[in-house]
Amino acid sequence: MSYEMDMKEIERQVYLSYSEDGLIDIAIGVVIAGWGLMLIQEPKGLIGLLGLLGLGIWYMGKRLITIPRIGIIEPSQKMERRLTNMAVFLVVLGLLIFAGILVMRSIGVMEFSNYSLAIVGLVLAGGVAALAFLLNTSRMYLYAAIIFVSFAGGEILAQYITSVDAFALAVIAGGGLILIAGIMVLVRFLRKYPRPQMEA
Amino acid sequence: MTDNKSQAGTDLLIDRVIHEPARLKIMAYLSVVRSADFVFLLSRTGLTYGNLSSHMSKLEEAGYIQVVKEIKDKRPHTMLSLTNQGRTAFETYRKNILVLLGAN
Repeated sequence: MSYEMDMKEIERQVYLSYSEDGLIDIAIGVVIAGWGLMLIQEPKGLIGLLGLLGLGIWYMGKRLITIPRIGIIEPSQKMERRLTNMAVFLVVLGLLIFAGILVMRSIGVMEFSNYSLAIVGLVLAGGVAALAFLLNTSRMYLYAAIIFVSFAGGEILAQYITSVDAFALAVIAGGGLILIAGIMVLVRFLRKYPRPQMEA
Repeated sequence: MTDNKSQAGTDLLIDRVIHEPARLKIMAYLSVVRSADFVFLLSRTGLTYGNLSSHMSKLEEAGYIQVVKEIKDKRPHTMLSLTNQGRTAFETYRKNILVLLGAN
């Protein structure tokens, strides 16, 4: 019987446990589904605030659900650098997406391409895929695919179905799928890590 | 033979303080972070509150971990970290065990 103390595996388990709570999944699902809802409902201008809503859900969830169950760590220097890079990347990505949306709106939205919304979906999917890579969470690659298919498929459907806002509904459906998946991950997390009875 | 070390092989010493399975887990998890709180170790090790406290005290007595108790959000909060001595002892333990088991 071999006995190897694979410290890299232990490290991976430690840091991975913090993304087992499904909060990032729920946040992404809420943002995407919220985007679709806002396309149907007013005010459309609040789409830009969806990112803050997602961030708020993630932060409050970490504070109220995750940390009381699996505690707090101060990451190693190596992991701290990685997390910092990830945070910077996410902020820059968010700003770029927000700026891109503002630019698209200012030039009349859909003038330069027949599939501009699909391009937006591709950009969002790329961001989520990058997040999947950084967090080493394979299920998020599926979310990236769902986002792209929702946006691109919705844009194509909208050309044929005019009685309803097909694009918005496709985006809501995609976001809803991710949200449901996130809730399932959260439920699994709650079962795996019950709240400790006593804390020091 | 010292109190907490056993002769196991020609020049290899197995640190009994670390060798105990629960304490080995504690040391292993603390070795991959700068520090961690009590709840983290409870969730990772699967130990009961009392067991973890007991093993924590032994490691602290050996000088392998540092325990900092504070009040956070009006509740007691305990952070643990490996001391330099603890990190060295853990690395030595790891190397010795791997040599003993014939691992590369």
